[in-house]
Amino acid sequence: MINRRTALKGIGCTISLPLLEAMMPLNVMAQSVKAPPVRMAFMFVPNGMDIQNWTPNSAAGALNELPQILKSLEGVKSQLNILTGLAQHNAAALGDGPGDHARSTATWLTGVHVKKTAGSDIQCGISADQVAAQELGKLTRFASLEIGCERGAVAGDCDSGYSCAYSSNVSWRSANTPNAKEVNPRLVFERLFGAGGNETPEARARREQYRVSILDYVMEDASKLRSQLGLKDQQKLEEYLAGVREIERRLQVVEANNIKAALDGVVKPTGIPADFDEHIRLMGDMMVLAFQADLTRICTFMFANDGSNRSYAKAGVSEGHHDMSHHGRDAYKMGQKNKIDRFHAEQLAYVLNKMQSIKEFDRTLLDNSLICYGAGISDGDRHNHDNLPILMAGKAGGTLKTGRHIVYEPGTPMNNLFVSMLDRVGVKVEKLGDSTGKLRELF
Amino acid sequence: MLLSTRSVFFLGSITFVMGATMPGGAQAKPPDYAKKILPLMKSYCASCHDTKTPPAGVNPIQYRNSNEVLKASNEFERVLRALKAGTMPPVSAKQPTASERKKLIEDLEILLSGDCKLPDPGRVTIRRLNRAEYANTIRDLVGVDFKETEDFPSDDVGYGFDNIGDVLTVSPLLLEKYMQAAEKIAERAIMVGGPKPTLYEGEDLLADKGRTFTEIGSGLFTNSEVFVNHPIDLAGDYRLKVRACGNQAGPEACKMQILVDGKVHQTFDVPQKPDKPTDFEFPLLLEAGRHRIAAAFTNDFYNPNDPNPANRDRNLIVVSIEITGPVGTVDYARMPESHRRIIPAKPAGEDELNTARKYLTSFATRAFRRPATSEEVERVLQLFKLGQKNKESFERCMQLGVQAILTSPNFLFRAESDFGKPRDLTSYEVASRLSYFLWSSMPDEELFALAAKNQLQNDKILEAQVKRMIADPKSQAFVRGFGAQWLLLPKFANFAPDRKLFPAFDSSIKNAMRTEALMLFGYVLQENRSALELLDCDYTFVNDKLAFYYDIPGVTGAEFRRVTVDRKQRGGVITLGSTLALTSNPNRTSPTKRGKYVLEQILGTPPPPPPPGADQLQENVKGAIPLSIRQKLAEHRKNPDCASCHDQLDPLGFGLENYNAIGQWRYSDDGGDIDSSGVLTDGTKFSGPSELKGILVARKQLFFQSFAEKLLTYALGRGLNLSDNCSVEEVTKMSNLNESKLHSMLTAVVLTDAFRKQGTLKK
Repeated sequence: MINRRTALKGIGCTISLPLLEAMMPLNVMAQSVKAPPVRMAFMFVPNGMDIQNWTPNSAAGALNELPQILKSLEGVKSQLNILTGLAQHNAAALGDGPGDHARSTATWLTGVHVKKTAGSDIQCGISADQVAAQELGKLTRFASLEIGCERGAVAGDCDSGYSCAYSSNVSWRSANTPNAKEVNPRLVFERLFGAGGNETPEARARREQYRVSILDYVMEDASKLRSQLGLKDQQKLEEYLAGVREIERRLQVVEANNIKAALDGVVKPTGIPADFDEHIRLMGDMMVLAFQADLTRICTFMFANDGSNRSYAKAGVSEGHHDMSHHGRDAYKMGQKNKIDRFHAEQLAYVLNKMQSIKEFDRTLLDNSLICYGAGISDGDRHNHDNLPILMAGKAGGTLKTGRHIVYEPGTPMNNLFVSMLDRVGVKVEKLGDSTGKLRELF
Repeated sequence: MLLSTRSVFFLGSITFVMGATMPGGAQAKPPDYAKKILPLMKSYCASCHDTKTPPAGVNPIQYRNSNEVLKASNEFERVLRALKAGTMPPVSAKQPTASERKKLIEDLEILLSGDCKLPDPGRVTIRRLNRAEYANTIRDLVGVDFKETEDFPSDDVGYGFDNIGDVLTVSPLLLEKYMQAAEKIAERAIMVGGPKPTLYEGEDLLADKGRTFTEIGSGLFTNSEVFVNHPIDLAGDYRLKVRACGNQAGPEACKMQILVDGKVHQTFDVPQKPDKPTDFEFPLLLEAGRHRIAAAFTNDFYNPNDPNPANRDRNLIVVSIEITGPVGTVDYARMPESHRRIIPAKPAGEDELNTARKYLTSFATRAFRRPATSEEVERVLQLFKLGQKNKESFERCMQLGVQAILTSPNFLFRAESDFGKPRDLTSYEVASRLSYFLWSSMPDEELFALAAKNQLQNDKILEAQVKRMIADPKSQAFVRGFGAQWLLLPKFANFAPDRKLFPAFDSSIKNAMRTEALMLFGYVLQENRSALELLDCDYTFVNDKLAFYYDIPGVTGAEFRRVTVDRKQRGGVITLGSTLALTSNPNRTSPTKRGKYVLEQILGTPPPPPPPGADQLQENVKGAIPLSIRQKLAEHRKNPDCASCHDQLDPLGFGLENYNAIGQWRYSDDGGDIDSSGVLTDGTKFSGPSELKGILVARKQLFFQSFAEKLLTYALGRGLNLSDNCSVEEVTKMSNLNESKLHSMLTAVVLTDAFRKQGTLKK
């Protein structure tokens, strides 16, 4: 049974390197000194934005003064592009009635108008991050990383007849398989770096050998089972098999990462912090660690699920976020919503500053990244999906000009941005969702 | 949602609620499509829809007879939905009379339900175990208490429940969790070689109060403790290792007390050394059972005025607690039950492989919930052999076999073969359907024994089993699974009222309300009461805190008990604290949401969702004369578009206006004294919750049907469709006989064709 993969054994040896280079992921070094990989992240915030205070005052051109919500990003201003005018047209009702929170979440990275259902027949589309993961994921231990700070909701239909699958996932492997996300930083850490403990390398290698053999076993079991089943059952089993193959592939990826260097001085998280800002930051730390160690190059990170009604004690908001987002032009509520938006931006600033502080040769990790931050709803009260608040950070390995406010024709599909981003990381797609081409001016 | 013989709203629809079934249960003769339905369709639909490219792709006119209609049943389900919702024909077009519409709906439903004598049982998609089912199945299969399912991703929810095969997905993340879980469970179940250390760190260490996570571990900044509840399967000598460090300040060293089951066992002085915390190791004699082992900080010191900052605050930081044992040799008879269940006796002398084959056959048979084939067992044995090749012990090799079985799709999914045509389920399949319905777990020995004798096809035996299974404490899983989801308790878990407006509502009240709701449902189930008591009864379940909160006198003590209440104020699900709160906004009540709850959860006649751009109610502005919710909604209903739904929704909610947003009784609100009267669209007038409950009981047919639909959805693990009407009617009928006792309804569910047969996927 252990045939084709016995060659895998004997990994896990450490290689000593000069200090500076020891900080580099080995995969990065192995490639080309000049081109470390570009990491891609999509960071999502719920319930729209105080769009007045998000949009720069200046017209298109150089990003001189940051808008009020984004003031905390001053330290990385030169790394930013603010994109105005992008739309997810398919997040609109288009005859399907209410349910914008769920719908726009599922549309955010797919550009697909999802099927309105609370039941069996969920129908979305593959998301931009997963298109990238299909290609680039082969090169790293984890094809992609899905994280967030709120679990998927569990009660009934989540939003006016839309399944909870829509409102709690931006990452979709396929039209009907959302990618579940991890919300506990300790579990993310253990996933990335192992649970720790006192296992010897031999014991660990043997354990992996058994895991691989068990995967072989269940694969045979599944194919036997499949022959007795109906069509829909087979689709479910296919999801299972896709998971098996993904884990099998992961066990095959040779661990050339300099995990030790990335983990230098890092303390394993103990659980979900009580304070929301700490929670977001700790999850951000996990994303940065995964990028730094080149365990993955693609990440989606939902600060919260859309429709979230949590309160923000640290930001001075004791009311629920969703309630405040439906401000009805009430000045007090708009103020509260603004506080929440700024609070989120502050956490983003923490993550970006951290990425900026990590050196990769003559650049920084942030230079080598392509990060898209924003919401699927523009104004939380109006529930419109045009003029979405979208911020880009990072220079994509020095190929992206930053420090700009770029204004697009109203209604320009947000998916054009994704097509451009994918192109930049070397994944060529003709069309994704409702894209009509690449985004002009960005690259 | 099942399309049943009801209009979208319940009032005025009573007359044809039993449309598909004649009084007495005989099924109505299917109408002749060409004569009875087609002419009406032609006069009201043809002008727009009878074209080659009809609107919405629907052209019902093209079908000429009943057979053609049945083949296009999907298209006709859409027609039916539009007719019932009143969205078709559009207002601008010629409208059928009310009685024509009613007749059309009735006839179409009877036609589409098919013949109840030749039922289509529907196809249940392969179901993966959800989190609760996984944990329960592991408990019953292996005898291991596996709590880590809480780290699994949330289960997907569809049709109101989290056990729907079509909806439950498997992500790579979940599969990864399954693999880890299988490994952990196998290692916990089977003892290999010497003692194994159990390490508790991070949030594994429990704390009631006073703990703050630091970078090093659990920081105790006041006198407080962290603890673990460690299960000991084998009595004997154990070694305990506590890793800790202290912040020193004041005259004495930082002290740490080790308590075992509340008794002080040791006290240590803990040095500072944050870089290298100290390990404190000592032996401990432990009996079998759970032990509470605590590390406590006992000499807190705080002097903010000390000139030396390093001398101001004394704290204890506990990094980990590790328990190893038992040390020394162990008598086989005293091995943990989980071990002996899988390995009844250690092979002595005989061939280890043959012994493993025997043991793994038996384990796989229980894990797969049907006899494992020899081919399947041989595949599992490959793992055993691999272990042997690596010179592992017999026990370790068995762990690998168990690990493989627990990762197999045959364990993780409940699969029922598709024969391409409807068939009776096998007795083993029935056993699983029963056990996951009532226990959210695998069949027990008795069900397996009956399955082996193929006796689970017999009505009498099924009836007896339902009775036995409800009496078993495992049926609590049905209360927490079906009951909790029917009562929308998962949604209640997210309810967070404005703390400034409602300081009385805290997490202990929230937990108490949840307990109240579950106990009401559990009581009606266990005592086999009438399902109508769920709607209206003169009792509820409280402890002292909740009684005080509800203003129920004479309750002392923290334990929950049944108390008799004034049915004008409490008793029944619509007056549960949880229901009243979860249908409120954080700052006020919402009669509309409460009305929606009644229509949707109780009567099964949900209103259509609000149209896009529906107005929100304006909050009261300071200085202006405050308006009551009733007054604001009256404004809202002046718009005829809003009124068509709100006339149905709001009056029901007005009946509950005497409860505030956190479920407490009140006499007034912003707008003055509470007016809890309402007028339903059929002119029925009522006032207050007890009369509202009376109205619901009077409309019990709707409730029974809705309840039957929900029971069937949960029992089958799939959404219902028109062909399930026959099964729904059977259960509804049974509710009307036999004083609507809950056991009869559950038995009726089990006896339906939908439950006992498996269909094939319709194209």
